[in-house]
Amino acid sequence: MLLTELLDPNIKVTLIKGKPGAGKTTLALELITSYGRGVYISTRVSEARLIHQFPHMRRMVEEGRLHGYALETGILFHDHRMASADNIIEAVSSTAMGIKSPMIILDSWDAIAKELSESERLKAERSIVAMAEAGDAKIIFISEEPELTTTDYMADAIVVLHDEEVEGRRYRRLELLKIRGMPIPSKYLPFTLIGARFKVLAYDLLKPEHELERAIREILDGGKEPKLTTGIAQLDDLLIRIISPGSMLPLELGPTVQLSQMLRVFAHWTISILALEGCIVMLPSMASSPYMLKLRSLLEGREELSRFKIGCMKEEQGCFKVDPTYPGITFRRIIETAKTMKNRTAGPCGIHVSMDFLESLYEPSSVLRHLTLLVAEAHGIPSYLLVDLRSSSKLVDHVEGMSPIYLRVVERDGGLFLYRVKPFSQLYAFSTGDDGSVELIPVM
Amino acid sequence: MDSFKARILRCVDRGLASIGDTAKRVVYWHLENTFKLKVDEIPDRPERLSHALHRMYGPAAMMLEANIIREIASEFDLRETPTDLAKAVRSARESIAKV
Repeated sequence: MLLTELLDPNIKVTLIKGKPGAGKTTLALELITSYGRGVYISTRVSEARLIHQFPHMRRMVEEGRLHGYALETGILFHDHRMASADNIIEAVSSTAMGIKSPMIILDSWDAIAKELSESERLKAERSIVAMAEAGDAKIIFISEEPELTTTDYMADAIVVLHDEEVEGRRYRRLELLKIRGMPIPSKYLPFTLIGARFKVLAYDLLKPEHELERAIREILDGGKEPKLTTGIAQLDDLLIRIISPGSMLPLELGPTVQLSQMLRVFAHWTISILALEGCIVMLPSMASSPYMLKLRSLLEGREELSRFKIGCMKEEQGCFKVDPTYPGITFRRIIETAKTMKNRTAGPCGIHVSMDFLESLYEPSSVLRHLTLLVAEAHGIPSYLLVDLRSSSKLVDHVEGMSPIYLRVVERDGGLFLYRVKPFSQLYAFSTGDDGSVELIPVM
Repeated sequence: MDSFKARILRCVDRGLASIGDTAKRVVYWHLENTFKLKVDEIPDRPERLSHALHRMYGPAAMMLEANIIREIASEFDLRETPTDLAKAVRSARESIAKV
């Protein structure tokens, strides 16, 4: 994603813009790492400092791992901090003539170009581009100039990096202003700079049934020592290590977050409690109810199923009945079901309720009153109480006030993010590996 | 009166004006250092200049070469515009000899 597009053979001139610290150099070096050969021409950073900041570049050079290219066509370092435009153009033309189809990074071109008149700058840039084209080179201009310059008009692709804040937490996003000859499906993409690398953040969901099967396979059939988990190691660090039986765990979902996106967390949470010989009482939302019923059906024939109860609108096996009129009755059934099962099981008990569902049936004030009682009862059982709610819920502030821990999940620019409102944590992005595993990557 | 060499060199300089002073200095630098062609040798070895421009600018060199040829044709009042740089310098030399 993105890097592939910028490495397209038709994209000869790329302009990367952004304020200091936005990640321009990191993106450019990520591109050259993927491309495999080229020259990094710096007007600001010495070679020693660059290698110190981006140690993976040193390894690439020293180990000659640039996709089998000979060392002389590998990454050289031209330190042009004291350079003039003449030196820069000379370096570009020498590279274009000396290395086969190189990638040339000018970091930063505007530091030199701003000393030239506008017409001279345009001519110099044209000259650089012509020389680069003659050598079948790809050229990357790095700029801190926010305004339109002549470079903008010459570039085949323009990427602007933004360093912003989301509720006091750092958030980075990339704006794709132009990419010649290609559609721009999403103008903005979230990214992070982690381990001196540039990573575009993308979260691809597994099909829901695969997610459920995976939770069962990994936890019940994996042969590992069971432990309470959300299926995401970093979320466990953020959450499970700071909770104890009797804790309430509110999970707020932003307006565009799909419940299915949280299926992994819900499924792993549920299955891990069952694996610990515990019990689950669940009142899922309308949206997640089919998935949870599917989860139950996947457990058909297993002993664990007897410890998994779900709220239904009618009497069914394995269900407790939800009263559509009186919230008190529904809440009482949740508590009684949990207490009954807890007395029969050795492990922890988990109660998972969806405010979405409760608020669709009952008055908010009534839900709040009974939820307060449920929190107290869950503490006494003791039972983990997972409460999912929408940002649009009228009870958001009340629920946040009920617990010392509060998690929020938001969607932004196509990425899915989580952060702990209480205690404060930075922003984390959900990221999917090739094997379908999910991790939370800090946005930094 | 200017020497033939000086007039040709001025044509080259004016022909390269489209790339700007900055890039022009780099072209002269490369001629001397990369292509081992001293500036005052250009009138005697125009094909080397042509080769160097093509190495540096690829297809865009044709435009620069055409600019230089135009300048030479104008400077020496050539009736026909020559098709390449070497021919242009040769025609310019012949035009002086006729005078």
